[in-house]
Amino acid sequence: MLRLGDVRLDFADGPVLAGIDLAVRPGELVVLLGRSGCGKTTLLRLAAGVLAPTGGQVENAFRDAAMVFQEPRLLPWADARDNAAFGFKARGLPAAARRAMAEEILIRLGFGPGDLHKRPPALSGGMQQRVAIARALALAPDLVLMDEPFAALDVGLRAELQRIVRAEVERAGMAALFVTHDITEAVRLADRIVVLSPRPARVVAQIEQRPATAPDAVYAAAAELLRRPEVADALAPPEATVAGAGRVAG
Amino acid sequence: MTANGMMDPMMNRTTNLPGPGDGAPQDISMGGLAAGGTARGVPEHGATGCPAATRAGRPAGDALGRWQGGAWGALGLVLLLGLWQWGALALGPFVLPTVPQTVVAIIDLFAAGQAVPELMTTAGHAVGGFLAGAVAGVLLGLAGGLVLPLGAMTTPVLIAILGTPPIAWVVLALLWFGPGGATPTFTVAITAAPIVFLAALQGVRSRDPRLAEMARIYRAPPLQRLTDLLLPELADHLVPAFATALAFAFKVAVMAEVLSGASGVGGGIARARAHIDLAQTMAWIVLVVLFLLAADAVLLAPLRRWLRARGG
Repeated sequence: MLRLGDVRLDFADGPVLAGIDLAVRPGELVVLLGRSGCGKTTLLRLAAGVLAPTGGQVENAFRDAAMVFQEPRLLPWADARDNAAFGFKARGLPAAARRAMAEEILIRLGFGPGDLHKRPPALSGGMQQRVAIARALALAPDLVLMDEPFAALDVGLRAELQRIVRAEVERAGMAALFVTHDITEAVRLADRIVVLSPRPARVVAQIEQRPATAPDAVYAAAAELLRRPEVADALAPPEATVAGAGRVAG
Repeated sequence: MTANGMMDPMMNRTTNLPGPGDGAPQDISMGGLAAGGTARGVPEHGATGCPAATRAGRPAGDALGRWQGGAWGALGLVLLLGLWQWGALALGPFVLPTVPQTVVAIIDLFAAGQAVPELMTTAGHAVGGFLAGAVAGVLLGLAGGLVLPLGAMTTPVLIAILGTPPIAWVVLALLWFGPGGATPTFTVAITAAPIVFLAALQGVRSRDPRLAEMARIYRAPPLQRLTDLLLPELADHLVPAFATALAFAFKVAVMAEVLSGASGVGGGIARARAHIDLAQTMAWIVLVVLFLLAADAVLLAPLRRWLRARGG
């Protein structure tokens, strides 16, 4: 389990996180939903262990964690297969075994045999992000952290990758902490949606739900969420909120 | 942006990927110029479907085809030979020998069994000094890039060495080592080291911190970070610096040989000068230039091809 208890973080220009309490249980897909700049990515980096909190506790009892970033962060000089196998190499798997396993997951994510040896500059944005997802999911980690991985993709591609991620997470029974500012993405993916306030972030709502798939159900669930004043206020643009009046988004 | 408790100092650095024109030394060797540069572009994170157009197909006029480029290069060489021949005929054999006289002198050098041993000696001085300087430059550059105070301390020293004329090193080396092979080798090494050092330093400093964070999160061991991240990132900076340093190595080696009276092509030039044999002087010059091009083709062209190929 990943547990954050009263986590606070201050940057030089002010507080970013103001007392976050959050838990991610095994096998659960939790979506962190909040406005751009509210501190979602910072929270994810705390969970990944690359940032230390100013106060509070971060306890990560998951054995293995992997992360998908907002941008693919692939090695430009390595082909798709070797990029997907990066985590296996870090764990000391022999070359033949790690390449075979990387090929298997890339093909499951829609790669053709001819695409496996392409380097990132020769791949489209969507294909690059698939390699990044393959790199994370191939390891079958018990926790995967995802930082708005589809933010730069078009709507159709985003829906397809959302479906793939949800299916892969369910298939492997892994826990996931997924960051997004898109409410429809949250209702499509989440077992539980955690809504963050604008910076400094605090949890304003936690909503258990079942992932919606049909478009009507997605929009109905999103509308239902937005009817909650605390959610609407947290997600509205700064000028439209009473609480956010005069605040500059970070 | 700074954070209390931030654990990774790399996070404070620029997030720009290294790219063409980021201060990497330019490839000034003939091979590098003919190849049209070696730069690797920043990977495009396109919003949607297609790879960037620059990857899918080069715009017309962006680059010549391989054979077209070769044909224009050959035309340039023919023009140079024509200019040389015209100059020789206009100025007379006591100022500039003709092309055929030089070719005959080259053949004579091979026939007399002088050319190969002297070229090998010069290659030994140039390549030996280049390797010593490159190893020292890479190690110092890596250390200076990774340990910031060390980098701040060594940079002005190496820039001072870079600014010192090679002729000054020849004189000092003559006093330190006396006439012989050590003088040209030392002079080449001390000339090559700062060129490579500055490239390595720049390479380390312009690494992509986002890739470093990715490797850290995936718990890549130090050896994997070295082979999969650091060395490929450095290659963009180091390969052009190696080409530059190798070109300098041959020039400096010949100069040091001429002045120190050592054997090698420089020694041959010094003897030809003493005999006022202009054709033989030109023959040695042509031979050493051809030898440099061959060394570049054997040692560095494969690296440049790899660098271009990995860019997609």
